[in-house]
Amino acid sequence: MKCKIGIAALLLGVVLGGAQAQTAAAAPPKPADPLQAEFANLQKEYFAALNEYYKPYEAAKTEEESLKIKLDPEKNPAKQFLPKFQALAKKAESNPAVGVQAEAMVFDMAISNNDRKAADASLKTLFGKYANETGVVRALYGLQQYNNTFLMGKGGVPETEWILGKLKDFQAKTTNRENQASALMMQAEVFAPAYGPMVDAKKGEAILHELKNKYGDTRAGKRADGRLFVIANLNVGQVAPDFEVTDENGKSFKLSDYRGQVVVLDFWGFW
Amino acid sequence: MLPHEKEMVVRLKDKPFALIGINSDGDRSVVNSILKKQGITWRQAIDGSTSGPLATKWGIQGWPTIFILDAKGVIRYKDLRDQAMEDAVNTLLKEMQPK
Repeated sequence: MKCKIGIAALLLGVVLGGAQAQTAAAAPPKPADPLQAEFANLQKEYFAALNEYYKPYEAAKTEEESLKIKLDPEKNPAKQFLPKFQALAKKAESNPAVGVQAEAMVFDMAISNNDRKAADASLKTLFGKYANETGVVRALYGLQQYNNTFLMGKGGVPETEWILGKLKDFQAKTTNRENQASALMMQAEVFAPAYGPMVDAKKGEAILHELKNKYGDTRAGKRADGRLFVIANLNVGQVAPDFEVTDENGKSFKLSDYRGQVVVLDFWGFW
Repeated sequence: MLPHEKEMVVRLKDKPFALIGINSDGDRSVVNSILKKQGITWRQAIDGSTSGPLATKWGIQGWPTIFILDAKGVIRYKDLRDQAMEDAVNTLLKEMQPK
């Protein structure tokens, strides 16, 4: 069974950004733009190198096995590819649609390399120069990783405050409604993460209501209701909300048909 | 995941236990061919795609996503896999035994 988000990706959040970029790369290509083609090729090379690097995780049969794997950080392809993407980002400065994608890769890789100086410079470029580009949203997801890598436990910087500050700053700078909405969604994520323990459900819900009311027409805005449902109903200790579905034989059934049994619900796909 | 799931359905076939897949691959015929090829015997909900109605309502953002419910329908664990998932199921089944 393939995972939409691989085990390696779950363990190494930086790669998660890569997985999202792969999805983005699957969108209709723009062959007319040679810079976009150059970026796509470089990204393809990088992902191939990453797959090779993380192969031990693919080979691991269980999560216990995968936790024992130790990779050599010197061999991380992010080391070799960072200067290549930096060069491309510079070359694409006059072509923001490509420039932002290259810069977002630089940001991911700088974090992955533990290179805070490069990460700071990249973040400044992303939020300064590319605030209105759609591609910058990917970098918002990198903020948590930035926090995990550089800030945690250092000088008592309150991690949520730092991330919230960046997100609010970005929200104020960008005039792109989709980006403003994404910044709000990410603020909600800080308080009510999709993965990991709840921080503050009330604050998360308040932000999601704001997102829904002000940005209901945006992609992030349309996801607000789903997140609100999850926060209100899908916590450990709550009775799972009932649903009615159709099975592989065309027969409909309800979750509540299974009362009296221990149930494992597995949302999956083979892809 | 699959080897653990297959082992579990066989081992627990006489116990009050059900594994239900919520599949996002496609329509019934797509899912049935996958089930056949992979030797998957447990019940599936056909959700159609990663933006299927149930996956959307439940805010699923990664696959697989696991919920483990006790006999009362209460969510007791989330996102456990492989051996950890099996251990959780065993714990919940043990709870149901008369003391």
